[in-house]
Amino acid sequence: MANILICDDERDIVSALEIYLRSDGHTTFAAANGEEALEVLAREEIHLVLMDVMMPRMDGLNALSRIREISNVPLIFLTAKSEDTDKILGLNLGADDYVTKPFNPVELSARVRSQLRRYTQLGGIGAAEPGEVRVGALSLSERTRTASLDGELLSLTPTEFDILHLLMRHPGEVLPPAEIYRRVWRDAPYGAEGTVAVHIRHLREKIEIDPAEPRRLLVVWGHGYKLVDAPDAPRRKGEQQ
Amino acid sequence: MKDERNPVPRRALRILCAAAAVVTLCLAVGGAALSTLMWEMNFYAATPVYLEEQLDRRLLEDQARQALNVYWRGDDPAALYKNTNLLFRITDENGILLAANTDALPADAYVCRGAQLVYEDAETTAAYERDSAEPAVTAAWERQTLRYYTVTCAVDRNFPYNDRYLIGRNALRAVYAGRYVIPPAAAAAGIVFLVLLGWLLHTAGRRTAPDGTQTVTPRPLDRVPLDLAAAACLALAVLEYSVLQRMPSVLPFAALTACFVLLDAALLLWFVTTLAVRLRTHTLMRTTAVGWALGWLWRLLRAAGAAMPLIWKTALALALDLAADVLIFGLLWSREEAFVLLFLKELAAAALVCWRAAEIRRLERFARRLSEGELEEKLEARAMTGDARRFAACLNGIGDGMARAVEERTKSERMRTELITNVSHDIKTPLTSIVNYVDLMKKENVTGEPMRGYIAVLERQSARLKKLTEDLIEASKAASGVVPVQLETCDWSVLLDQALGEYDGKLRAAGLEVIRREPEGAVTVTADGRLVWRVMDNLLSNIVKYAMPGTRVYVALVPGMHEAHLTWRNVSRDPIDVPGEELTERFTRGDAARSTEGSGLGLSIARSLTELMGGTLSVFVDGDLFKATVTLPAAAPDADK
Repeated sequence: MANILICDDERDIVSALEIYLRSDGHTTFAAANGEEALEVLAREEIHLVLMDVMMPRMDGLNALSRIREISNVPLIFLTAKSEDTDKILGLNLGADDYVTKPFNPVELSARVRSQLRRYTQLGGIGAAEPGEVRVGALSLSERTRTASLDGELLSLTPTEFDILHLLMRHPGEVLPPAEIYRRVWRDAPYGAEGTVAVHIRHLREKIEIDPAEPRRLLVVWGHGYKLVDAPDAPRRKGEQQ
Repeated sequence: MKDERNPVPRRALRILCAAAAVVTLCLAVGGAALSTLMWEMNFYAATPVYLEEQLDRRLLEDQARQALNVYWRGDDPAALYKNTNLLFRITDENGILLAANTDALPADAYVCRGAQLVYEDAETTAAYERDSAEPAVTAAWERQTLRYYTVTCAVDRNFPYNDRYLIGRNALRAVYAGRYVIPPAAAAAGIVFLVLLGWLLHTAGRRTAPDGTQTVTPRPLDRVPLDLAAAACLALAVLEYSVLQRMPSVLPFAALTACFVLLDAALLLWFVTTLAVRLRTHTLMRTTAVGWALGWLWRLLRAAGAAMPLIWKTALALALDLAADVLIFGLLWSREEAFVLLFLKELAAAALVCWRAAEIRRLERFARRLSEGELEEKLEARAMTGDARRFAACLNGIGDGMARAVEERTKSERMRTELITNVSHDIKTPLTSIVNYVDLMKKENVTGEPMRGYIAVLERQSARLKKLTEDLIEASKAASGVVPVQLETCDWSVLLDQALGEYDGKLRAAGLEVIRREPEGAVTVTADGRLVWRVMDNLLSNIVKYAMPGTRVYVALVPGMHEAHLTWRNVSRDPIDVPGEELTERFTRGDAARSTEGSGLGLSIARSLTELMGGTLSVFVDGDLFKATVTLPAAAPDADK
């Protein structure tokens, strides 16, 4: 399916990743540090790069800035650092996504799939039809009352669809649970807004790769919820995973 | 101008300049004196002959009197004035020659008259001296007679002898010849002197270090006590004067005068330059004997004051006060001045006492701030006096010590956090491989029950290890306060909704029913929403892990005036062996045997994070009832959105 470059100084991690990605039907190339990765990139046609941050000779951040000078290839960081600042630094340097070690193989292959789809379909998506709402990889049709993520149809309950619809009409805006309740249920909440959180939780399980670490539907603790455009947008004040 | 690197030519140059300055000073002063004299003696209008006569007249006036005095003393003036150009004759009132060293005198000779009061009777004179009785004096007056003498003298114009008259005439002629040169020459010498003096003062004491920087450094001579040096110079001047007084002839007198003038000018120059150096280095007071004595006395008094305990000093002050009272009343009793003096004394005493009291107050205030942990502040010890000053210095020392200790503790805490974080990151890399290969083993369709069981154990334990490393990082960060905190106003009831929504599935799976008690409307607190969620996350995950299945969990949100409280109550599945307050310590778990999963860090993290936001977390255990209360500061009413 795709040519994927795996760059990590831990030989065992590279082997495990090769097994997973080959079983998904990809072709893999291995590199032990940033310099080797640049050599492979110059030699082969690569569709996606998985790169460790801390490596000898040339580290991931250095290699990334060198790659970005010549290529637009999707790049996912594998990092043992889970601090917010490191994530933001990587994303600002031009990484498309990140996975923290130790990672879940299922999550990793989902992120790889998502990045590949965005990369290969870039520009392939036409202009929005009337009655269609789009936020990042999410699109929603008011006419057919269906929603899709990266072109894949999502199976949503009517309430979940209404909540998603409301949030997609206000991207980047924090909506309090009471407000969501009022506009989706068309009723005064009277203490019933607690149910909104449960629905949001379910909705997140359907549109997020890792629901415990959401990147599209964010919880703004003590205020409400908001939907953001890019999954890799650096997080701002008051937002949570 | 001079070689900066080599001080020797510079030194020589200075000495040369100093010598030139001394000479020019003498020339200028001498020239000025001479010019004044010439002006007074009318050098610019009179003829040389007239001037010579004037000079002779001046000299002869003195000499005539001296010759007469010699005669009255009973000596023969003719024997004394032998080899001299002075010609004289002494005659009495009747024209009888009494003494002479010549027969012929020029017609324009100087004539001087003298009179002597002679007592007829030597005894009466003695009596008059012994006893001032009126009749004796009157008698003495009656028997006295006046005798008149005439001295005629002149200078021999042939000058057969080389004496003061010849020297005087030659000098006069020389000065007259140079009467138009001397004033400008003196002025020029003065200007040269001023220039040299300026340079000498400017460079006085300056030294150029090897790196080119200039410093003003006193030399040994600049440390000589200046007042003693001044006294020595005065004594020297007196000595010089008395030596000059005794000089018999003109030439040695003139030579010695020139030497003394040069010496005095040199001393004066040294005095001025050393004064400049001392003023520049602010050592004038320290390099005088008076300054030394005063400084020594001051140090002695200070040392005595420092060594004497406060109680003795107080006693001494009271004794002095009493002595003053006794003195005032003893000497001025019943006079108005006594009361004025007493009033002034009491005023002074009151001012002193108030001053000390104010100092004690400042010390106390500072000590209180110190005890409250404000360590950056310093007491201005220099503004205080005596005991208070020493006390202030001690307090400042304590503050410094405490600040150092706090800083070191903060540093070591930070280093420990860094170490834990780094070690945890290093653990994560091998852990990644373990997790991945366990997963791959699981996918290999392993048959055989024991093998599948082993893999399940590996999977569970590696997940636990992962959680443990993550908790460890979070706990050490939260405890050392390196977690960024962004305080804002947020609605705790909304946050509770959200948290319960997140845990809806897990609570349901654990068979727990949540009963909520909360007021109508928003409960706003000042907190970091993310951190509050992590506190709730830890508490809820504890409840899911440890609560008895099928029981109810009570959560109550109570707003207060200044803070809001959230209380969780649940029933534990297993007996809790540890008191409530110990549960929030790191690595403490309710079961001492540690049979269950969990890192034992959850409550510790929750407490640290709550405290970072200025709140508290208290845990209470009563039998199987587990109760945790989170308290957060309430948002100010106007900060409410």
